[in-house]
Amino acid sequence: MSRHIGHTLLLLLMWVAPLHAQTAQLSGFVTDAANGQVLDGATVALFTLPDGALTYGTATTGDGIYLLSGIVPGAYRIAVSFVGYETVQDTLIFESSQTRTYTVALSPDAETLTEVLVEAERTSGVARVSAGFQRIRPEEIEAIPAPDVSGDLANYITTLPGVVTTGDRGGQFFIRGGEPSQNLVLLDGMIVYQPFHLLGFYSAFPADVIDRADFYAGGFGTEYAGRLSSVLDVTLRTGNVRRWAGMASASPFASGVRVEGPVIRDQLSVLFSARQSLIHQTGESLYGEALPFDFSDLLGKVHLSAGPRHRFSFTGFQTHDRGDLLSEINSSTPQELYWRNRGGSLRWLLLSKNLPIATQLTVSRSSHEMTQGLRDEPSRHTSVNNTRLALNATFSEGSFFGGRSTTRAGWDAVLSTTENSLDGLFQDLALTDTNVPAFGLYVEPEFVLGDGLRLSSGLRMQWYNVRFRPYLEPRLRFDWAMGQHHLHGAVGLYQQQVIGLNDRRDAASVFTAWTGIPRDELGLQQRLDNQLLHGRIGQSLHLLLGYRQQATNTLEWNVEAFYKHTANLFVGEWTAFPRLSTRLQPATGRSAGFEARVEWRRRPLYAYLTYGLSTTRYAAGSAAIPVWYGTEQLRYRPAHDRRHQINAVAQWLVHGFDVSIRWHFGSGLPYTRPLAFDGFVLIDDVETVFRTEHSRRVIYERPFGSVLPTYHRLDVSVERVFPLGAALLHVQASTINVYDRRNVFYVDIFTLERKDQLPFIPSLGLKVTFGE
Amino acid sequence: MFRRLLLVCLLPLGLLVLGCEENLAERDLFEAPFTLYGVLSPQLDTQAVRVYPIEDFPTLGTAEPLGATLTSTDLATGEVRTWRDSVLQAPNGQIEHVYWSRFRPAYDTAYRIDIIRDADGAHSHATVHVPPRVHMRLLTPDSLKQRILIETGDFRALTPRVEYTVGWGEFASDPVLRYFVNYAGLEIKAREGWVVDVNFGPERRRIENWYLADTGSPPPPRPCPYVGLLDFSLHVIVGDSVWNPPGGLFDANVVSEPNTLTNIANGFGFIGAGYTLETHLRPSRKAVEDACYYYVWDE
Repeated sequence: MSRHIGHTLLLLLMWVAPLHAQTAQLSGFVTDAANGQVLDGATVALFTLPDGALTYGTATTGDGIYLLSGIVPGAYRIAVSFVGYETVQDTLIFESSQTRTYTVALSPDAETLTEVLVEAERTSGVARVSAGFQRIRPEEIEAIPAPDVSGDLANYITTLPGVVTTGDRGGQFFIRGGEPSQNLVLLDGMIVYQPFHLLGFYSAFPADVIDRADFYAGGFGTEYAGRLSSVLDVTLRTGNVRRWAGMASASPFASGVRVEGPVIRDQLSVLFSARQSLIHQTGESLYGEALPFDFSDLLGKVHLSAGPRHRFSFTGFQTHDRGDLLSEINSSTPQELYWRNRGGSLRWLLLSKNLPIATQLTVSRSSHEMTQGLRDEPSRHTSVNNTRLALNATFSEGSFFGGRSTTRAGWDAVLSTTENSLDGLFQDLALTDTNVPAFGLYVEPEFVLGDGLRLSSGLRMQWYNVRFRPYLEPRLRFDWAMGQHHLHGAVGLYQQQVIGLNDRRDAASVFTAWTGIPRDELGLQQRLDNQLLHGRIGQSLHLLLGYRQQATNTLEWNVEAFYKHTANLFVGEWTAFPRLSTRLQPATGRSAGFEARVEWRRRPLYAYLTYGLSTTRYAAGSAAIPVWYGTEQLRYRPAHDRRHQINAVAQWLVHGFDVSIRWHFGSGLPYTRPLAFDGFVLIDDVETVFRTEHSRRVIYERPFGSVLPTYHRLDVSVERVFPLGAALLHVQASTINVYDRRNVFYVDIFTLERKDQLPFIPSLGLKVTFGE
Repeated sequence: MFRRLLLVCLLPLGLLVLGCEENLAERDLFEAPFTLYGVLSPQLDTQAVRVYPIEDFPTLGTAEPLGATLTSTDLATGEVRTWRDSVLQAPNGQIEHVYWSRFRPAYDTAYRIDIIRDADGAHSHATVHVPPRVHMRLLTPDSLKQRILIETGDFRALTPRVEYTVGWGEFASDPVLRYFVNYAGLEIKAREGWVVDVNFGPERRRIENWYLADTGSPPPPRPCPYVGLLDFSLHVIVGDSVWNPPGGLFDANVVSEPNTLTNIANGFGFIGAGYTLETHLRPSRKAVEDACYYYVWDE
């Protein structure tokens, strides 16, 4: 049955694999024998017998898959190895046209396991960056001090040099000058819209349930579409297939629980994780300050190994956030924010029985809704639902373009449905409910040229309902390894039709209304204000160039420069008119920058230092701008344009204590400074001003012409593990903002009141784990 | 070695801690004392100007006297009037001051408005010119595009709108309804004054559609005519020549910017001068019938 389905999928792809009439193929999975987790980067080598010469070799992908084709019939010794694990060797005999599947479970090697941190074949690390791409592993996340005893992906991402956040609240990430709504976040293939919690240390992704997070700060490949700025592709790990394990934790900030284990040993496993914030209840009593950040996340994954060639998994998740960023400043007008994400995805990973292909079919549905206003009667509501069907295929070396080339190809179909109820106009736009279908096809061969040049040149054809003709998105990535030196770069073109509209005049503007870009049916000449969006699909060009050196086994450094140009942005228009009555205006954006990372891995010390230098400029154009400023366009630094950013992180294992330190420095963010306050009356008729409507007015300087104070903060945590019978007790003491720096969150431009980020906050967390 | 490393790391940190209290940059405060809004009109027997102190910090205002003296001076006669302060309270608690004076400005006369803060003599002022009496006439009475000229003198024609009064059938009988078509921003400066080109012919279908929708009447079988034109008039504000919003449109989002529409020296806001003018116009029988209205006026 599965064979027929597999063939049908291949026909859908309309690809005809080349014939390998005389040669054999080998594919399989490589996993950890202790818990069933896949191993990324394990080496698979075939040595001819009897002479023992290395003839074929490859490494496993992030899904633990390897593919070898074009194998000359004969006898071979196979060796599957991974640092920290015992190598498995076996003898395989291939006959003509034979396809074999060989799945291996590697056992951890107790002698070398402790050296995993210093191995050279790892695929992750803060300096292990290639053209904007970085693979993030849970152990790196755990190195960041946090107020909670468990780590979180959000806390780690904020240490990366190209990531600017709104501070420790708001959950907004600006990556290399891009807006949060331009980041594509995937969880096991599901599109997630607002995965970062209101309190900036947390996201929907606790470290202990993540297998890996592939983070592209730009220049991402053709597999991804629909966003302009970045990609965060999170894969949950599978539950332990050998034994039951779990965790329960509590701290003043949040409590969590995780349970995992085999339903059918080595075949069917489950993983369940839940977390609920406590800080909204404990903040007032413990710290004397209301911290109204209520959030939760639920994650679950069921994984089935159905034979040597099939893997099925189902992932479900739900998050919620409720909080009030303005509570202390403007209590007379509550602006409670609430958002919720839900979703589920089904994935089928298949190694073809007859062809050197690994395919992954993903069916997912996810939803996001956000409200703002009074809890019972929110004045604004937006929601977006996504149904996604995607097929990704990886072809083994030489299948299409001969030589040492591998090819990835696939398609995806996404239907996004948006609904908005915005209490009348939002930014002077009457947003309607939209259905936005999108379909994309891509092919991306990767060539290995010479000894070390890897060149991925892909093309994506993307259909949106804005027009009949497809949008072409060419992309190219390369990594040229010359011994310990790596030169890497990327260039690509990106489009986005489902956009998030936000009045981002200060950091507290989190509410984002999602809508699709409508077809331009009226023509340019008939574009009125409320038809501003028509036909203006977002477009971005990325250019990246970097250099990396593995100087020693313990020291690695990386530098990278980037340039990003984005057209068809929609930004809030500054006027002196009262709050929430501004309009959107079209703009273009340009970001350029430079990032440097140095990473040190030598027990007992793991440390890294990152520095980011960037500049982002928006050029906005509207009919009013020549009137106000005497120029056709208003050029300015947007609110997230942080010029300098430094992160220093150290994890030190000393006398059984795990000490983590993080210091974060950021230069001041631009803001628009109020100069004075008066009133405004529209004098548009001949009548006494006794009767005319009036309002208070703020007289601003030129938009974003001033800079907030610099930001810096030191966080420290100390953790120790104690045996507790068959379990382990983790005790963590941490402090956020050790030297109690008054970091500005934002300045209320209507009242001149200042809202600061979290002050010095000590915390004690406990965690009990078993079965790990 | 490690201690040295730790020292190197902690030293700059310590320096930062010492200098960690950082406040927002000081603002350059305004010296201008007041923002003023109002219109002097010969059609009103009481003139009023709303006065806002320009403040460094937002306040709810105070019902106490503003501590400022507002005067108007007739620049032709030299007559000076001192205006009286009054207080308005908005539903949100905001208290605002309106200065008023009971008099009727003369046409084609300039006035100077001065407001002086009693405490320190800080002073804002504006000079406004009440426009002359003007009139309007049809330049193209036979055409489907009715060109209307408003003449003469130094003035600004603002927010013109055309009013159609129509009734049913050849007798223009009940119901008789009025419809307005906005021509704001479409007025054109001409040598003699200002010109408004009214799409008299093309607008007939819009008027009929509105009429049929309002009365619930089904369209008669014949295409034209089935509505009689009872009256055709143009309404316009005749304003001071500096009362000139960008594009001729009063877009609150645009003109709320402090320097966009202002004639206040050493302050913000705008004081206009002017009056409304409404003139009934009579296109020719040919134009009315060409536009597919019944012609109901006496020859």
